[in-house]
Amino acid sequence: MLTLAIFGALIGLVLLGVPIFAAMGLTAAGTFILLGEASILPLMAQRMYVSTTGFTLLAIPFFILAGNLMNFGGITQRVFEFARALVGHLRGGLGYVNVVACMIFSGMSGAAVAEAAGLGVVEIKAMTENGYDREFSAALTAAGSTIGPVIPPSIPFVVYGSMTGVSIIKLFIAGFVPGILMGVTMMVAVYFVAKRRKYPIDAPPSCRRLWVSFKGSALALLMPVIIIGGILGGIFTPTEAAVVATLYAFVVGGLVYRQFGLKDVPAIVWESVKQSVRVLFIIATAGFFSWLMIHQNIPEQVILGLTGFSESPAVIMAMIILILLVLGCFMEGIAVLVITVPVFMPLIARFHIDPVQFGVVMILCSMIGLLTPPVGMCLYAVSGISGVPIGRLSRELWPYLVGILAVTLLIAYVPEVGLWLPNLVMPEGGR
Amino acid sequence: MIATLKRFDRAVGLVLRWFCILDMLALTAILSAVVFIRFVPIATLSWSDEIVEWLMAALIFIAAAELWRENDHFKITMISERLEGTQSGRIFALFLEALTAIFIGFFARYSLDLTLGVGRTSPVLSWPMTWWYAPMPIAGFIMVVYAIRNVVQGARAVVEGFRRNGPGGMAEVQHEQRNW
Repeated sequence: MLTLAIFGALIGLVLLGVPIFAAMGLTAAGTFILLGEASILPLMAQRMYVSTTGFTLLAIPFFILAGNLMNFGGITQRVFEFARALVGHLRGGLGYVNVVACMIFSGMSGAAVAEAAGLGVVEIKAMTENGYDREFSAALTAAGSTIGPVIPPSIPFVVYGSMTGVSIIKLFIAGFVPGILMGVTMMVAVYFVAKRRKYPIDAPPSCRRLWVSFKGSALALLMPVIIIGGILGGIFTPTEAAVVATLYAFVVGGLVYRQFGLKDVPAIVWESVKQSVRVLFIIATAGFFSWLMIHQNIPEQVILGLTGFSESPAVIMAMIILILLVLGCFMEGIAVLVITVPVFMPLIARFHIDPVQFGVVMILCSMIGLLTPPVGMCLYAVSGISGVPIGRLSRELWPYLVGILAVTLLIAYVPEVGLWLPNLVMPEGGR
Repeated sequence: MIATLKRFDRAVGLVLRWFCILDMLALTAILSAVVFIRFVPIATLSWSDEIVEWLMAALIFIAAAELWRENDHFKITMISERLEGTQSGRIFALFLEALTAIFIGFFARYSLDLTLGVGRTSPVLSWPMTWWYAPMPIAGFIMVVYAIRNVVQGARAVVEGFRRNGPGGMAEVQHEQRNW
């Protein structure tokens, strides 16, 4: 009962329009006061400090800064051109280009909204200029941007790893297969839509065009190799890889491609700080909210409640996915993550569900949340860029949502699909 | 008076932004140096962990204050947008501002207590831990000031709405609320 009241109050405050950080803090503080335990309130500041100043979370502002530097530095444009040369000659080619560019860009940036905002501008402009419906272009861009946090590097995986102690590197590796599967399902959807609507075809690329576009984007394409190779090769930690990615994006975009100068740097840095701190301050107050959950034994109550319905791991997984999808409709993805991870971790331990597999399922669910109203961050970002109203965008999105859901269920119910690669690369676990 | 306050507000915004920009650049420089020195061991940076922690805390809390000043934290504006321009909307906005101000008040008060009450020093640099926690009450203070501004502005908008609508203003508000 208390659990329902706490989550009801939290969701109620968020839906009313209280900033998410304040909604979490108020719910926790209010509950402690109502339970006559106001003496715990002084812990608020300490919990907020401890939950955000870990070295791992420092990766968040740097991956966001790297993504923004790439957008400003013309790297995004080059990635798009390269993808166009590769697959633009198929029917609905720019649709495939959109997905392939998203998959390549995913290897450089860990944030879906940055990807939607950066690649989105280039993709939607190119697609509408070439005879594609604006709604189709916008919906595909929004869906494609959710591949970003699944294929490494990934900000949600950094948050999940820092909260659970699960190896972030292993999580990163586990993101490859579902990320690629997401891309494949989106391309299948593009195939059917493009065939039905008779979307145009680019001229087949000459070897010279392929070579020129590859040469033009080679430095950009090297970036995922540096990031992922550096992390997997044990050269950098994920946080250090984020810093290296930032420096690389600065050098390539600013000094090699000369798309921005020193005078542009403060604005880019501030934009990145803003995007990061919106998330990090939520994580800070979530630290206090998590304290409430631990103090009130909420995870235990949730376990009792859910196992009261069924003892089957498959049913429990279905219920967890349902809860995550519902919460994802009403809350920002990272907020859902930081609230539910402490609740669900004891549950998955009891049912012997692999925490790496579960992390991937959680992130996939939060990607669906990014695309569903009323709080779909990518939906809003792409609607803002394209001028397509949220309602029309949502209607156009359903084939891709079905695809992401199918991948989520596949990873949830066939663990081998998501785990074979991390277990192959890191059989001993690792940090 | 209002013009002076607006100038002061802009100056505060500028200071907070530049602090965060320089903080982020400092973090980039130190972390780059840490990676570089691992491969080219020309010096030891044993102090770097503590400075990085301070820079990160300062970045998060000071930027959070600036985001609050700019009304730029994540929130759902669905209901506010529906009610925008109506007296119910103004009352609703005031209610939300007051709720948020309560949390900000808690945050400012307890972070000040923590900062003033900490007696430890940092393990490597042996600096008082007060320095590490200090960004929280500073941010808390700034956020409280702007929360008060928001509540006052909200209350003025409500009073103005009642005045514009005359004696029937309240009836209009109640009607709108019932409809909603």
